[in-house]
Amino acid sequence: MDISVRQLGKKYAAVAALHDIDLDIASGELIALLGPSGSGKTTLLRAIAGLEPIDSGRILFGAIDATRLSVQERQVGFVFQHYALFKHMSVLDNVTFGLRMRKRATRPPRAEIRRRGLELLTLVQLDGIADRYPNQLSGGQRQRVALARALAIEPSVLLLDEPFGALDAKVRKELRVWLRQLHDETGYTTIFVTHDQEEAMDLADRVVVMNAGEIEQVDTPAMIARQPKTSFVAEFIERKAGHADMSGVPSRA
Amino acid sequence: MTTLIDLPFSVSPVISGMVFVLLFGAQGWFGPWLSEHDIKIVFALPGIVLATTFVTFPFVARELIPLMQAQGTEEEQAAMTLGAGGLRTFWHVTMPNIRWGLFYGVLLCNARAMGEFGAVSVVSGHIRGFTNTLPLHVEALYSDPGEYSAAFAVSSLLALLGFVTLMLKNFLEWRHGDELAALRGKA
Repeated sequence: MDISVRQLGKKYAAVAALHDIDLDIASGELIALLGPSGSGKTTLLRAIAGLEPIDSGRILFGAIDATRLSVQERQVGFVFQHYALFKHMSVLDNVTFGLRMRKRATRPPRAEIRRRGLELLTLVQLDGIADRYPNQLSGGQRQRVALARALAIEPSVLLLDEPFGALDAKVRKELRVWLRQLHDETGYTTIFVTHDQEEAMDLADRVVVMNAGEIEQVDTPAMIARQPKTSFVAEFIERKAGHADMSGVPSRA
Repeated sequence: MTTLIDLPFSVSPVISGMVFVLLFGAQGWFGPWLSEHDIKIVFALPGIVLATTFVTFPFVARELIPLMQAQGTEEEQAAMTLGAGGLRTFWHVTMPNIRWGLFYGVLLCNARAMGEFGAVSVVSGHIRGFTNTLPLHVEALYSDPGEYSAAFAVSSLLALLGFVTLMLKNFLEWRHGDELAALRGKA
């Protein structure tokens, strides 16, 4: 589904966190929201999900105006930086949660729910751990369970908040490649937030560079590298991955 | 807010009992309305429940608030994005996460409630077989010289119940220590 953001504005106390954001995302695209801490990228992602109330503007999911829709009605697949798995549920129960929460009329029968759950676990390459609990898994495994859980509801859009932020560098690279493959297989419109420009440039079809609540540039990684529109973009892209003041800082604008 | 929650700790239970009589008693603020509708609170079971709830309320609140703050709201947000409404989110996600903290709070409440004398003494009216509690019964028996041994028997029973509660509490701490430690650190 294509996603459009029109004139989106959001303020925290008198400070503008998002300032008249306009963004069009085509169906099936893999988009990175890139920027330093406090640039508003996470706020924008959460606003699209409906987790963050906005002050002005509109959010469109295809032809539907989603601005007034609740989080539940938007049916977005959201993956949190720290996974937010349900600790007291098995991996399978985590993955099937969205299906089990459906109203009776649209809920598949129990056997079907189980089958779909196991299928998703195969998709994220986690066969055979359906009965384990989140605290028995590694970080990378947890993140993949979180992704399977988000995919289970057949989301209108997949939103990932710093999906690899809490993982070590090696796992991060592996998962990056894997996420690209998964995206190409499933074709969900995907938006992910990152402060790591290498990750954004490597993975995304288009990169949205943000700074201080505004969009600096939206372009393909190649164009951003070749023709940065502003000095901010040029400087930010120059920086090497894992720079001391950028790495590992969870951003919440 | 915290001050308000801790109020029952700092106010003498007898005073809270008096306040309840003042509110719900025959001459109290709500007294005429209550008697019109034939509802009995003071010198009846609702009064005892009300007084005990008020006195023990901080135990549960003090256990749960730090625990819930430590856990944050991400799991709830995840449940919402997966389509769960408020009630189902609470039931399937919040509740299982706080259940031991809640149980622990209830246990402490229970311990306090069993021994509560002051507030209940004021509102209950000491009607034997109807509005009596164990501590009140001990006092009643003890003030009657002929019933000393009965008073001690009832006291022993109360002490035994207290002991069982303590055992349960220790068992919980041993079994679910990690979870409860989260609240101990912040309390």
